[in-house]
Amino acid sequence: MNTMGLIRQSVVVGNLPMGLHMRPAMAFAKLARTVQGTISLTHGEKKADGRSPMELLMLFAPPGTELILEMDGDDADCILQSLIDILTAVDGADESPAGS
Amino acid sequence: MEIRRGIAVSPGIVIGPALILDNEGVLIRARTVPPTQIDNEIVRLKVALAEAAQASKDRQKSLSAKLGPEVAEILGAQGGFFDDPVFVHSIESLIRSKFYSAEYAVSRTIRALVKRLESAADSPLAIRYRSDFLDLERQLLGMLLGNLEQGLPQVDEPVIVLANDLTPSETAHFDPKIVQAIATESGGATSHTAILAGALEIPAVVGVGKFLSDISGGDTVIVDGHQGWLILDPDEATLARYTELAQRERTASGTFLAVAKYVPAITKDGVQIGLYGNIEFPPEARHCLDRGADGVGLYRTEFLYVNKTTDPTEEEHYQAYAAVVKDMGDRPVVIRTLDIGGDKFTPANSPLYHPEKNPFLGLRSVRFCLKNQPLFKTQLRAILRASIHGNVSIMFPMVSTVMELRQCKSILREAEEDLEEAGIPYKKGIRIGTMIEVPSAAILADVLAKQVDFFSIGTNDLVQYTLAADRNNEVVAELYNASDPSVLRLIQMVSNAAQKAGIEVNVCGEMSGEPMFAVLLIGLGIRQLSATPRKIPELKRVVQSLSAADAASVADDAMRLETAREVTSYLRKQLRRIMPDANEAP
Repeated sequence: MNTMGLIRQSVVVGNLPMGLHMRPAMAFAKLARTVQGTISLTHGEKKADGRSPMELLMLFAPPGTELILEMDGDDADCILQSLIDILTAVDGADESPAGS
Repeated sequence: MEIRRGIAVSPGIVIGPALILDNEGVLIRARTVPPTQIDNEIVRLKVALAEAAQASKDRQKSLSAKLGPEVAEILGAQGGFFDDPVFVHSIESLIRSKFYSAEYAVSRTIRALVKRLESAADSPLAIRYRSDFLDLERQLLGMLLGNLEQGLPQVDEPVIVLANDLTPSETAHFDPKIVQAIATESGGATSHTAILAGALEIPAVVGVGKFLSDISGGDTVIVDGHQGWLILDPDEATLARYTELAQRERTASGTFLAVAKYVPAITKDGVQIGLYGNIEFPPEARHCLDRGADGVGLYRTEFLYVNKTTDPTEEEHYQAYAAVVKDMGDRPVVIRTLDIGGDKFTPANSPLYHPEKNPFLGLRSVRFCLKNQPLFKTQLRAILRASIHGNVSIMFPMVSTVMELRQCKSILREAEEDLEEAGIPYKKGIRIGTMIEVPSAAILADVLAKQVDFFSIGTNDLVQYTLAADRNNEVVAELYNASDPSVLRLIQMVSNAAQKAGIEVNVCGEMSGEPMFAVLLIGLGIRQLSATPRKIPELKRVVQSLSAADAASVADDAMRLETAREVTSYLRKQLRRIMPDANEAP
């Protein structure tokens, strides 16, 4: 039971050196889809639907970017910490450089 | 309306909807669908998304074992886009609001995303994803349109295929009932695609230059395979004019064919000339029959080898040959053994690939076969086996010495013995012939005539080797001229040698399909011509319009001329006299 109403939190992106790239974006979206309610990440003017890996990618958020995470819905607090961990992970087992 | 000029490589007029094959072989079909189809398109989209997601998962699983979990994860990650709610919704709304086809909606959505990536070019992330997004497009379009490996997917209505270029293997799979015409941006008159289009009798124009970005799938275009034009967005007047021309063409060839088929090719003074067809593919046997050919004078067998990485099996050979022989009934079929090499395409990863400085003077054709006897024997066995179905003769290309001919015959005998031993049936006493296309063979024709049952003069290569000029090399191509007196003298030599030895001789190069040369050849004593089936009705008319005696005196006079130009001009005049409404060679 979400007793906190709307959650609004600032998160600093980790995931060196690529930041919010495909892997974390996918992981984030996948987790976001397990609950009800809205989840969004905002970077400045751009607001991305947390369930859309495409929109998350399009935030083009490198490490050190401050994103605002907003959630509502009953189960939000269950996954909140996991979502934050995905975004801020320092240990980025990264993809090979220079794309395929 | 725009008229784009290219090279006409296969005649005919076709008006129809464009089907665009872009560089990456991705098909863009019609842009929009009628409103009643929208729900269907949404369903198609959903199915494609599910299939693509599954394929991605499968790929990830199988590659994980081979390349390790991290790499596999990248590929699998792509799969996560197929159920991205925002992505899917964008595509759907294009379908619902703009009536786009599923393919077009996917393409537009992805291209829009790519544009956004391009505008954030300073971000390293942006650059990375461009190829990922385009890959998504390819995967989705692949699912929507079925297997794109070879040829076209389920296309029900006749289309005109437009592309930058077409590979021979793609073209070979085209069904002329569906692909009614072809136009490409690149390509030349002698490219294999051009030859194939001609063989399949699909009107085609190549080398048009860039035009694909100016049209969309579904647009109406006109292909004029006579003038070499591709007409985009035709105006009403042009459309009307071409509709009439196309109609007239259909009726004319229909009547012509109906009559020509049944009347034999006999000159005014009662000399019968055998008219045969040159073919490359089994289905062309029907073209020969439709055009009233007396048989197949040249069955080129190269397509069995072209664009493959493994050699065709004896069974593959046999199936192709048997199909043709059966179609032709008791009419003669002359099968030529492998003539690969030179400009005939062999992919670099094929075991047959052998880079040479001078391929036309190198290991080609029968020389290649003699050095690769197992391969040679496979083909020979298949031909022998097919012989039980009809009237088969076998012919060896590019024979340049008497020794080579003897070796070929000896290997053929070995193949016969092998079949004998294995108890596999074949027709004994198969007729053996040699192509005369190397000057040495022409000069020694009297000797060779004693060792074969027939000659076939391959004028294309004969002209090339005699004048030592490569027809595909633009800087010397003008030297390549079938009218050259040197070539005519060699042909005369061969014809005389055949007559003296009492063997048959035919001409199977391009010359034999040209009315003005047909007159000359008949005048030189040639009584059998083999040409592309399309030309046969006209050749028949030429034969029926002349007397052999007259042709002989034309030949006498022509042989006295000293230059190719004089010969050409003289023959043209004679043709006009004999047949005032003939189609003249360009």
